Parts: sequence; structure tokens; C-alpha cells
Amino acid sequence: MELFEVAPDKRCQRGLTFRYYLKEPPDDEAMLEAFDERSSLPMITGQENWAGQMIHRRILQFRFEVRFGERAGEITFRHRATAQQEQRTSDRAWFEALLTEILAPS
Amino acid sequence: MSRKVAPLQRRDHGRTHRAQEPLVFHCNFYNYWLQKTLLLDPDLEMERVLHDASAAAAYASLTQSAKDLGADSAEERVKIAEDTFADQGFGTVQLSPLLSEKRVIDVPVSHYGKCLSQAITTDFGQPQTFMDAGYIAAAAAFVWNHPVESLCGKILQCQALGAEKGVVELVDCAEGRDWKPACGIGPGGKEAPPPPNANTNVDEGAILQALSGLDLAGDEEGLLPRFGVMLTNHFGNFYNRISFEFLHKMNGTGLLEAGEMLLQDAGYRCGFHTFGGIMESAEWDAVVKPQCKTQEDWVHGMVAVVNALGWGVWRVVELDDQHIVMRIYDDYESTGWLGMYGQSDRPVSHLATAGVAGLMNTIYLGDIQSKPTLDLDYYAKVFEIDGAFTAEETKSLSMGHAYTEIVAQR
Amino acid sequence: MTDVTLGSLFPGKMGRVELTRVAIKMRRPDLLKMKPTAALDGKTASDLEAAIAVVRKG
Repeated sequence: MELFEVAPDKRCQRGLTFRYYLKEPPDDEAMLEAFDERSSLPMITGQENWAGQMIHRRILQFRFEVRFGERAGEITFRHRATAQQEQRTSDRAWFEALLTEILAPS
Repeated sequence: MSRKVAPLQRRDHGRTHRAQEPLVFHCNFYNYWLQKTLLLDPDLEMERVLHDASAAAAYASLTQSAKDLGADSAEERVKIAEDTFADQGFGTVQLSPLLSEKRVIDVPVSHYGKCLSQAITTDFGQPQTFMDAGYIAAAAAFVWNHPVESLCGKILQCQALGAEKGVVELVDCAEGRDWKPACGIGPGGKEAPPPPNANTNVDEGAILQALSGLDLAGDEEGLLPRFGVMLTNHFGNFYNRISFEFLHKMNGTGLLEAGEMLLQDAGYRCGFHTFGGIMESAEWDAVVKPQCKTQEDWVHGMVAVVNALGWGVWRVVELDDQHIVMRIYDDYESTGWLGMYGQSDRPVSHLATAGVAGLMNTIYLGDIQSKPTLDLDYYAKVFEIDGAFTAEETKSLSMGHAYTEIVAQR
Repeated sequence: MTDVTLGSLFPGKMGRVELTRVAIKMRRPDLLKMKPTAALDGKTASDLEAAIAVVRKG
């Protein structure tokens, strides 16, 4: 079973931004906790408060940003502009492997 | 992220300032279409105007920033200049060579170098980073304590032409340069804006409060991806200088109205891409859409967001599906004109005029609620619709009226 | 005269905007007053086509 679908942003940020649509998303807190547990990269955390809706950011500087909480069941993955194509491919593969591990039925 | 920058200040009438220089948010689509218009005729030498407008605004901002932050040393000034460039979404500029009086400066990431291309489907035929070059000239003058008009930035490499990084060389400028300093905050209108139109389900105050939770500073690369576009928190005086100097050059050629029409075209595209992008964004879905019950609410909601962009205070006076009357208090185009040239004899708020038309067409004809893909084909389709809204500036702060008024109808 | 008209080179409202760009590029305000249906002479048609190609670049 496909655990998620991914679509590139077709607009201005084409090539930079990808949206992940999770088939059976866990709740936000569980998702974030699972991501943080498994990610061994030196990520910077951040938050935005949209009228009470919390957006959680995980940033690997000059490589990518992952944004949780923008829409239910969705995660945004955004490359940084300076990341070279090879790095982008490898970073997204890393992210998708992590996502698969988190979402796979136990 | 901690940066050495002067704080942003929200002032009266919806204006935002940093170190007494007005800032306005604009996206890469507007930046591209505006610059494309200005560069149409190479004999106008608008590259120099772009450069100098950037240098003037940047120099004013940086020197006041140093005073506000109590920064005296050259090292501190380099940091302020680098951090201001990044914070405002222009990219990354490496200015440490200035400390050893070197004159070749790298720009590893540039909004103008990398992000304008997302608005087009072809290649660039010339460099696009005149704004960067002017900023670097200003930064050098700021760090070295030289007169700002004595230095120019010469573009050696530009990412828009495929270079891996931008490179700018500082050169001494020719004598007899027609230097115009930035005009700062500029005179504003005396009339206070009324409260938002109450004939809506939208709560503008709540929306502005919610938007204050967004991180609208450049990321660690100095870029500002948001709402599906790349934003810049740009110098209002830069936009005004380049737009109005272009019109001055058109004056007397029989092409003044044509020039005004193209400035409006850039504004219309901004209305489509930026407003459209905002209305399709997750931020809109979270903060504004829950309050919207009618198409008119979408207009009021978008106007609430515009009032966070530093453009002045927009107020909907009349609205239905056939027409809108918008009044703008201290629109940045008028205050800029007044600050630079004094009273105008014709309307000057071309961005605002087209923005109002673009907003109405996007909502009432573009079916933005269904989240169409906002590409060139879709833009053309909406633009060509018979009976689209057209807008006219019926009053202008720049002409001595109490506010700027724009009427759009179909 | 050719069978090319301003209207055929610059169709619709988008075409009018593009014609405005071309008129500024060529410094030809007269282009904006020409009837869209009038046939263009060969040189004007070819100059306009060349200008369109330049204006369509980034």
C-alpha cells in the first residue's frame, strides 16, 4: 500500500517545493516526535503560529526545510536554492525513507 | 535566526520602516515584470537608474541602521550590510573583502539572479542584478566611509545568465553623475483611515494579528519563499525611483501613457500571482478562509492581508460583484512621488490601480476559490475575458487629495 | 503591402500589452494609434516581428 503521494509545486517554486500527502497520517505530535527521533541530522527547529495553528519547522541549513502542520495530512518539503541537484535528490530520498519508516504499519 | 539589523517598525497608515526607509513586500513576478518594462529601451539607460535607486535606498537604510544599533566599526558595518540584504530577501552577499579594501564581491544567492526566471519560460538576454550591484556600492561606501555617489557596482557575473554565483566589481564612478538621495519616509496624508468596512464577516484585526506570527524574514540563504512566490521586503523608495524616472523619460515622447500602462501591467501580474498565491496558500486556509462566507468576504480578506504588506492602508468603501471603490491612505507610490518631486499633475499609483483590478478579476472571474494553477496560460485566459474589471485612479494623494481612490468595474 | 496586420501580430488584450512593449522598444508611439486591421508594409511587418522576438526574451 502506498503510504503517501508526492507532488511538486507547479508554480513559482517548481523544483524547490514538494508536497507530501499522507494516506493515514498519525496525529501531529506523534508525527513530529517520530521524525525527531529518527532524524540524526543537525536540524534547526522553528515554529510559526497561525492564529493558533502551530506550524513546526525542521531546517537543515542550506539544504532543506520540512514543514509540519500547514494542512491536515500534509507535509511540505522545500529545498534551499543553493542545494545542488545531486544533494536535492539525495535529501528527498532520505526524507522519503524516513517517512516510510514512520508510516509503515508496525 | 539572529541578525544584526535595525528593527522593523510598523508606523501609522499601514507603513513599515527600517531605519527610516519605507519597506514594501513584493514578489519575484512583480520584480520581473517591472524590470522587464524598464529595460525595454536600452537608450533610456535604466540600468543606471536601477543601480542608483538601489544604492540610494540601501545607503540611507544602512547608515541610519548603524546609528540605531550604535555600530561604529567596519566589521559591524559589514555585518549589518550582509544581514540586511539577507533579512529582506535579496539573497546572500559576502562583503568581508571590503575589510581589506578588495573590490570584487561575491553574491552566492540573489533574488534577482535566481528568482526572476521563475516568472518566465525563456532565457534572459542580459544581466538582471542591477539592484544587487547598487546595494553593494552602497555597502562599500557605508563600510569605507566614502561618499556613496563615488562608487558603482559593475556586474561581472549574473546567475540569471547561468553563472554559478553573482560577482560585482566596485569601480570609481564617472564625474558628473546625477545623484539623487533617497527621500526617506516622505510626506503622508493628514486624514486618518477609517476603520475597516463592517459589511463583511472578515475581522481584519484578527487577520493582521495572525499574520504577525509568520516568519517574513529571509531564510538562511536570504530568500523568502512564501505563498508560492519569492518575496522581497524591498525598499519602497527603490520601486518609486525606478518607476517614476522611467515615466519622466517617457514624458514628451508620445509614450507616457504607454509607460503607465506597462507599470500597471506589472501591478496586474502582481495582483494575479501574489494575491492569487496568497488566496491559495495554507496560510490563507488557516487564517482567512474560515471567516469567508461570500465572494465579497474574499475581497475583504485579501485587503486585510494587503494591509500587512507595508503598502498603506486599503479600505473598501463600496463593493459588489460589478464594482469596487477602494480608498488607500498613504499609498506608498503617492508618498514616494510627493517626497521626490512634490505634487503631481496626474495619478501615480499604478501598482495599486492594477492591483485592485487584478484582485477583482482573480476573485470574480478567475474562480480562485477552486485553486486553479496560476500559470501563464491561466493568466492569459483570465486577462482575455470579455467584461473583465478595469480600474481607474479617481483621486490621488500625490495630486493633493486626502487619499488615493481607485474605482474598478466591469 | 503584406496580409499581415497589427491585429494578427498582436491578438487580443495580451497582444495589446505586447504591442505596447514593442512600441516603447522601437520608440514608435504611432503604432499604438494604428488600426489593428490595416495591412502592414513588408518592412514594418518584419521590423515588428524582430521586435517581438526580442521583447519575448526574458
